[in-house]
Amino acid sequence: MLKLSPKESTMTKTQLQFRFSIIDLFLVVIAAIALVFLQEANGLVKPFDTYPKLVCASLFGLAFACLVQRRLKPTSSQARESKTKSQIRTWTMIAGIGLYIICISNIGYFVSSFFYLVAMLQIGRYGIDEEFLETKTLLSDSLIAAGVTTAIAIVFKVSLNLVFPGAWLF
Amino acid sequence: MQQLLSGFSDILNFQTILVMCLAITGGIVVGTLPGLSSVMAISLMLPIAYGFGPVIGLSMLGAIYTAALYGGANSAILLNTPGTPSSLPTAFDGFPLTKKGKADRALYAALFASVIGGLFGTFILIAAFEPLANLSLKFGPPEFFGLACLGLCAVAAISEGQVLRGLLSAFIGLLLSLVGQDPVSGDVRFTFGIYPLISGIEIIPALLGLFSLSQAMNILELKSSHIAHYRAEPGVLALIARRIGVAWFTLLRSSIIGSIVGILPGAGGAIASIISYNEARRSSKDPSQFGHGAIEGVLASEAANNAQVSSSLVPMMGLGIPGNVNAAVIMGALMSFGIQPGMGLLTNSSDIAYAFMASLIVANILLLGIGIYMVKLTARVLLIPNTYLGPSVIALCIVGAYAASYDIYGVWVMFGMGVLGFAMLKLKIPIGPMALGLVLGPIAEKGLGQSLQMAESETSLIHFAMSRPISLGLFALCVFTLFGAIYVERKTRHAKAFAKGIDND
Repeated sequence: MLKLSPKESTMTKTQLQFRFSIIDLFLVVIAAIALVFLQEANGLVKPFDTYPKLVCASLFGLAFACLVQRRLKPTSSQARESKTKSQIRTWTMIAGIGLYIICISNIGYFVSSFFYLVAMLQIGRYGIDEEFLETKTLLSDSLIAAGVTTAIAIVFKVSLNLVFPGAWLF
Repeated sequence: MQQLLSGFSDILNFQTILVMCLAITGGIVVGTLPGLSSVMAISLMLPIAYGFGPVIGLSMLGAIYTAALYGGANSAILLNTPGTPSSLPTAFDGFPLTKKGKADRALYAALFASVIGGLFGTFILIAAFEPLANLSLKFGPPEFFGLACLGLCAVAAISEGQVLRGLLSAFIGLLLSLVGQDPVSGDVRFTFGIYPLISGIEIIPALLGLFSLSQAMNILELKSSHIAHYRAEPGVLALIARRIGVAWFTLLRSSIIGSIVGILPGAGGAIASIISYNEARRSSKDPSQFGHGAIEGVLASEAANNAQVSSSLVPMMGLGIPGNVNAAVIMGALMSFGIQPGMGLLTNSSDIAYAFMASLIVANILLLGIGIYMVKLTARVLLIPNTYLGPSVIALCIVGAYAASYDIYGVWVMFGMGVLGFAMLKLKIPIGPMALGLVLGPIAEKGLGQSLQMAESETSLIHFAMSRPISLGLFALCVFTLFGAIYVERKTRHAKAFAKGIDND
């Protein structure tokens, strides 16, 4: 029976291990989207289908090549730290921006921006060690938010006469 | 020469200079703010320009155009959010310099390069106005396709150490640019039944999302209180002046590239700056510095960017064909003054044409003076804590995205692209190539679509290709760029391995 040295044994085990990280998922999604687009491009009139087919096929090939490249690279023994806390912060931030845009189209830009800025100023300071930020209160954050919103209104609405997304409030 | 001097005498008066100074200040501010473009600034100032009359009005519009394109570099350097597509490569080295606490160097380098490039482009406009206008006519669809391919090859070349990921990113951009109407046939495709997608993915909201929103998200995620430490560097002006003396050839080459690409209708400054950036990197003694804070990278990108300002006006003034949207708006201003752009411009309205050209020279000189003072102000953005800066940038992004289309759809496009850009940043996939793919996609598609239609009437595709020497030359350059990229990558890898070997010994 073939006996492997501890080093070889670890390497083989690591290489055979089925690794599937977020980037692999991203590449698979990109390849799938490229295939969907390629399928749609098949229904286009000639010669206008040439370029879309070229782009879709190339993208599929590139996504596949990136996946293969990742498989061929030796695995580094990166420690997988718990990133749950950071991920919650990220998802809250993305959801917050989405909610902000929904509020803009339903309430109006200026009111939504004021509340969004107050909320973000309150949430944003957690985890940042800065004495300056610790002295700030809800009132001071509200004043800053009102200042930023007013500045945007003066520069863009009054001076440049830009149209803002409006709804039942302003 | 006599006519040019007469043009100078028309504009060198207190009222015109004052109007131009205000226009330059406003142009820098608009260019710096993410989402607000030079087109928007010029369009907003059209009624005011009309009130001033042709000489002052056109001088004002030219000054805004020059300053707004320079202003795009400020946000690219300080926040990694290019204000204009043409300042995309400026962020590649400008932002790393900011992170190293050398924002002043990058800002001054961008200013000097913009002024030098702008002056060079204007001299080219004056000296070779008619032959250049005729040259632009020689560029047909195959040549534009070749040019777009060259831009994409440059993308691969600048993705140091991750060519495959750079290409993947560029092709994601190209795929997204397919959504909406076909630029040649007008057929609607890839909308999957979603009505607003018929108009396609608009460039400004998409770029805002990719760079500004993703960067704002990144800022909010940072544990540190500021993007970077900032302290005004003493003697930085003299330092940059010396660097410019050393890198004079980079500036000259980039200005020439910017002037040539700028003449071509529809090519845009993004191609000019990316090709110049790639050329600077390729010919550098130490290409590994590029992408990590090389001053030459900022110089190359900005010189090309502003050199194309004046040359982009050549087809509009010489042929009556606006090469880009800015030129179209200025052409509208010319026509509203009763001046017909085209070959007859220099004979029928030579006084106004030369006054306008002279004003572009004066605008660049004024930009240098005003810019030096504004650099000190704009760099202070770095003193704002991230907790304030992140949400404020997001609120500004929404203004910019909405202003691009006056539709909430633009804001959602920005949001989607922002999340995609943020995810790509986290996965260490470069987002710059994707933005370039989005910009170059329609040019490439239109070029190929029209070329294929033209080739149908020829005996064979090869015969058609052989009859287009400029196009063949561009494709030869594509091959040269790709091989150059592989050569540079190998050279860098060997240098790193050698350095590692010395360290181990």
